[in-house]
Amino acid sequence: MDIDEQYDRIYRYCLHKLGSPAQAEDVTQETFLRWLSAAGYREEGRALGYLYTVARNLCADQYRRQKAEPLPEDLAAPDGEPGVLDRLALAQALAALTDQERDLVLMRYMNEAPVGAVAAALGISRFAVYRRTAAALDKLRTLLREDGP
Amino acid sequence: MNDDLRDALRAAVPGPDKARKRAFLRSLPPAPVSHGRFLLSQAAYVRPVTWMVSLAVLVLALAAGRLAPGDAVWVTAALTPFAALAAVTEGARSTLYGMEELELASRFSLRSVVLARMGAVGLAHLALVCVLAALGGGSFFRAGVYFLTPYLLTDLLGLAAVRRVRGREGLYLCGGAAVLTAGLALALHGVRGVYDPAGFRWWLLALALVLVLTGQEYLKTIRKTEELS
Amino acid sequence: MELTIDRLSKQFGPKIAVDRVSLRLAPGVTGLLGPNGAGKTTLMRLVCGILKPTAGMVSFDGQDVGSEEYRAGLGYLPQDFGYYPDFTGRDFLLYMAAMKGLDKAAARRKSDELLAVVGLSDVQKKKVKTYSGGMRQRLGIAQALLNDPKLLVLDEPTAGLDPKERVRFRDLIATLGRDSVVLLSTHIVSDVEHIAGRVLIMKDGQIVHDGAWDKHEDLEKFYLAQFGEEADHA
Repeated sequence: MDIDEQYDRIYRYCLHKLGSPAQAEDVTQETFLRWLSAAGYREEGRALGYLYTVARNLCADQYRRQKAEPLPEDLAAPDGEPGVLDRLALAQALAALTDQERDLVLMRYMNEAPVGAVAAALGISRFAVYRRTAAALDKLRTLLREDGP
Repeated sequence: MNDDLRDALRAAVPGPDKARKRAFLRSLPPAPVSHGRFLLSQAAYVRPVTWMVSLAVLVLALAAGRLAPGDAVWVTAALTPFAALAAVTEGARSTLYGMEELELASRFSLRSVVLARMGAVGLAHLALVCVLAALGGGSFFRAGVYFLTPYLLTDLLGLAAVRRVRGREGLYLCGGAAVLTAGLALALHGVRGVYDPAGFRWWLLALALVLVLTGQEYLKTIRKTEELS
Repeated sequence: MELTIDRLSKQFGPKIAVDRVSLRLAPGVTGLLGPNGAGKTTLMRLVCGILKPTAGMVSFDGQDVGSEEYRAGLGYLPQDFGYYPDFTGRDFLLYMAAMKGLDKAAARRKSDELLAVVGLSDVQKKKVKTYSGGMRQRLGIAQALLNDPKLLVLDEPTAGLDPKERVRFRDLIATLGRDSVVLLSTHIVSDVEHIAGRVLIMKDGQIVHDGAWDKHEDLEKFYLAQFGEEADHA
């Protein structure tokens, strides 16, 4: 497993969920530290399952501490060119998804994590991952079309 | 639309601060790496030539079994030294091509490299000898002994040669050892009773001796990989 | 982050190549100067764990030189190195990456990155045997950086580089020196003048000068005083 690459992906996942770069960094680093202390979970598939499980739980802990949803405005200005889709519209559309739908879009679609890892992290079957990811993406695209120009 | 959305999701949030990420990653203990995976990757670096020589030995021995069944035993005994030559050459490549220093300083050091390569080839050759012994027609055990002894003799002479003589010269000496051993098998085949059951105990004695000496040579070779020489 | 060398000695038969050297190196670039035969290469080999000391110890942040952790954080460029025939530049880096324990994805990513850094991306698919001396040296520098080492040991790294390559190399080393321990041996004085914060001068197996380098001092004069001979320039 390319730790350097996975760090970036887990960080982006956390940043989408938490809105704060500092918090995303803390959660990402804590996630990797826990992975290293855990016995086992060395093979890539199992490692990713563990990492996403822990990252998801730690993000949930952060929510509880904050007691508020992160506002889209909290997202720091990204470097690089803006995509075709308006960043704000994207953030609002994501916020309109359920937790699980959002996780599926970020883990499975954006980060291209293996099905087994996502299934393990969310506690659902692999088949459910396929089915619900497709549904979540449809919902997301619909929301974007409604908001979009 | 498909990739656009993925790209947009990724672009919507910036990546992590590079300096802090690097500092964090460097503070971690080295990521655990499976030795099994390393062994497999080294086996992949074994030259095709080595596998082809081994295959040639197999094919020629089988051909002898078909075309000249009476001579198959000594012909095979004369062929296995060349498989041993390929094995020793494979193990000596790091030294021959000046990769030792780099490999010694790596996480998986030279010792692992040599062990992995010789292990991979050695296992293949063990299988080779077993296959030939099984197809030999006579007793599996006796055939195995007849084929293994010249193999190990070449092995031990070859390892000693490349350990003492650096560079290509060492490999030429190793080649010489293979030819000598093959020649010995050739010369012996005319001697009456060499492959008879009555004389088998001499073979066992020879094998035992060669096994011990080969074991010693392997140990010396492995010990030599602990530092630059 | 600290490299600790404690009363390190290496003897080959009657010859003492390294004589009771003790050093502590912090992050930054340390230049090791000295004439041929002073023991620089032997010292570097001891620091890399490829020679075993006759006496003394080497450790990095508490890890002994013989441990896998030490080697996992080490990058080494030897004075001379070979390559398996038929390797392309890229093959060579991927092989060294495997030796350093990087998995395939990481190996590919770092190889691409480093080939660009040393300017060999265009020729990565060509065989190493077709490379010039300078190109081979740059490849050697690239392989030393594959595992993002905390300890970088470079033995005569600028040998064979043309002036433009040498400047590029110095910039690279200066950057790396910001958060790694870099030990660089050379007998070209101007290498050291430009990038080393600390200079060690070695003679007959011993460190005869060890000090932070004041950029205004004339290294040349000092070197001459030590060895009574001309230092090498490039």
